[in-house]
Amino acid sequence: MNITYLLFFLCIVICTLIITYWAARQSKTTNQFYIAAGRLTGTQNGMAIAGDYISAASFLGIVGTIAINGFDGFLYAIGFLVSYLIVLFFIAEPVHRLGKYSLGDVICARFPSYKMRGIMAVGALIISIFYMIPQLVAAGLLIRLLLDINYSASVLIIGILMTIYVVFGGMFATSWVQIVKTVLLLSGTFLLALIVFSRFNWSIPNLLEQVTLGSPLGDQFSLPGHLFNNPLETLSLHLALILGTAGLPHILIRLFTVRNTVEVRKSLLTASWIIGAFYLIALVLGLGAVALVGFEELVLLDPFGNLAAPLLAESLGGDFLMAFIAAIAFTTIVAVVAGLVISATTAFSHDIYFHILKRGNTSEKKRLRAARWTAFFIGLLSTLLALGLRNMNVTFLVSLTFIVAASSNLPVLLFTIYWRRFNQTGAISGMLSGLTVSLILLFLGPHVMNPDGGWIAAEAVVPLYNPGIIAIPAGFLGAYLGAVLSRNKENTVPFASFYLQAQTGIEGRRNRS
Amino acid sequence: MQLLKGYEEKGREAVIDSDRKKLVNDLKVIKGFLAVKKVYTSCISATKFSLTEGERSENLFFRFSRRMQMGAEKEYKQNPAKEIDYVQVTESKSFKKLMHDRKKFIVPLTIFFLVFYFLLPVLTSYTTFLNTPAIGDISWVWLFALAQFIMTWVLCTVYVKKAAVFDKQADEIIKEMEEGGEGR
Repeated sequence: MNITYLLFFLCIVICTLIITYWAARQSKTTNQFYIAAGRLTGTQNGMAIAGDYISAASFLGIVGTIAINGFDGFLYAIGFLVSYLIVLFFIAEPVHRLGKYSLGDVICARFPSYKMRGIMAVGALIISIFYMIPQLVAAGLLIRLLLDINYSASVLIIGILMTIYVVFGGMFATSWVQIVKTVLLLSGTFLLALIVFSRFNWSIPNLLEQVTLGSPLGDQFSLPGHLFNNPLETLSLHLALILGTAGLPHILIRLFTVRNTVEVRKSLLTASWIIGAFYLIALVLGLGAVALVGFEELVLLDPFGNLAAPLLAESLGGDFLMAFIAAIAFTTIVAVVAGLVISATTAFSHDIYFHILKRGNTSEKKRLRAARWTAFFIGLLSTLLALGLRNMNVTFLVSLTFIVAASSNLPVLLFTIYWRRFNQTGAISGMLSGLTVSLILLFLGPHVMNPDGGWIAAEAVVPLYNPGIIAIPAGFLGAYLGAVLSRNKENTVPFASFYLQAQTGIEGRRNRS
Repeated sequence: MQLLKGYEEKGREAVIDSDRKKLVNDLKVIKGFLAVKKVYTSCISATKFSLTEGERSENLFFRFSRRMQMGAEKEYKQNPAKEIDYVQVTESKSFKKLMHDRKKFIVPLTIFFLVFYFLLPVLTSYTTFLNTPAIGDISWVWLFALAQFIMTWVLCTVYVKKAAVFDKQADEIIKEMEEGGEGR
């Protein structure tokens, strides 16, 4: 292994471990472990949200997709950004006011029952683990390509690191690793974008001219239609992108880590500026990659262009810059997977262990120990899964998580918060219909059923790669019908007090734990 | 009652920082048994993990918490907490106005951004007229795409500004509720 790479990697690893050591001293209660005692400021939390959200798929994937497919790659990025408007307008403040540690808390503020909490926890676990596996697999492949160490070793390194952060440092360590990642990612890519511009004498027309020369698409590069040529598929993807974020548990639990709703809004405002700025930079890098590295070179090592950003760095600044960008990609991955580990941990140890198995009766010490062990096992489980799935194409799980989140968590959250006549049956049927419909559609879709290298070699029953346009309405419909048909009033907190709490933050007549 | 969250936090910190006297004084400001009892219970749960600090702090805490409890009970007898009628508050003018104002603000903006957002994939999928150059070689699709970024930033900022007003309204409602229990 090259010494420059090694130095950069050691630097990142040591830095994050110091953060964890410092955070471990502030993770001595469950409150600190799960939500960093609500002590982050809005700006810090916004940076952490961006760090949680911009995955390796976004950083390397979007740069690569833009470099290869031109405009359509950029279209992807827009959905990721605009989705924050839904979070901010409808979800963020009520979720902060109603919940304590998990999404289960939010729904159980209105429908307090073990069944409801269990289903919310299972949903959060499924989403977090489904999202984590492709991240880990991609990380393994990437680090293997960049550093020339084998796949298992790289997955193990990342798995061990993320587990250490969460087990010892809880939400504090996770947040600060994410903040450091955001700063590194933004400054590193911004620097790279400046170098790209300087190569073209700061002239955008020069850059664009070179892009059309570098891409085999030529003049067509800047026009839509290269990646998405099926209108239904395009709309379906965009529906899942814009609605998915508002149902992702690992993003929503970050709304508990600040003091009040003012800070919640500030967090989301900061996050939307950072994420937007980042995608604009990614656009420049994508263009720069085609213009300076050239198409043939980009698809040589990876046909999807995932290595566009590191290759661009190499052509601009040699080994040193490439090592820097590789180190940033590495930080990006560990920050995202750490966020997913803590969200899965909360779902299991807070909702399932503490509330359901122990009926809310156990000492603080035991709760904390349970949380740390859960984090350890979740880290272990997902690392093993990622090691086992190395030869499978699992990238579709990323788009799947957005669809599952948008079709199960989102309808239940929206109806619970805003609809007076919603009831527990509706919430349960909404979760279940969203989850099952999206999973069934996935198995009937071309990711799994594909004559060309799918798990089942047959023509797909549902020819949509992104079945969001069917699954999301199915989730909403399931929730609606469940509520209308059952008229079930059991386990319901009076709507007036719940609604007041959701809208104004006043404490309702229920104990929150 | 909005203060309560702050006091809950303070209660925890006070136990750890041995800054109890100030807390007791602060607590006297809060009216009603429920309010104080809540802080009291949260203090108890807080000590569960600070017990390791030694017997001395444990002793001090229990003396402190008993004093608090006694004070709270005395205060409750003198001034029993009013049962708050939540239904009445949700029916009150000020709450209805808050919900109306929120709706009036959020619904049009949401319709706008959804339409604006889906317009781009719809237009690029079904038509090609956005492919004509707008400024130099840059075509309308790129401008439309960049406009989505600007829209998100502007709407986020506008909402954050506006929400400060909603917060004030909400605080008013909470205040009315605590004072009168009628919420008009």
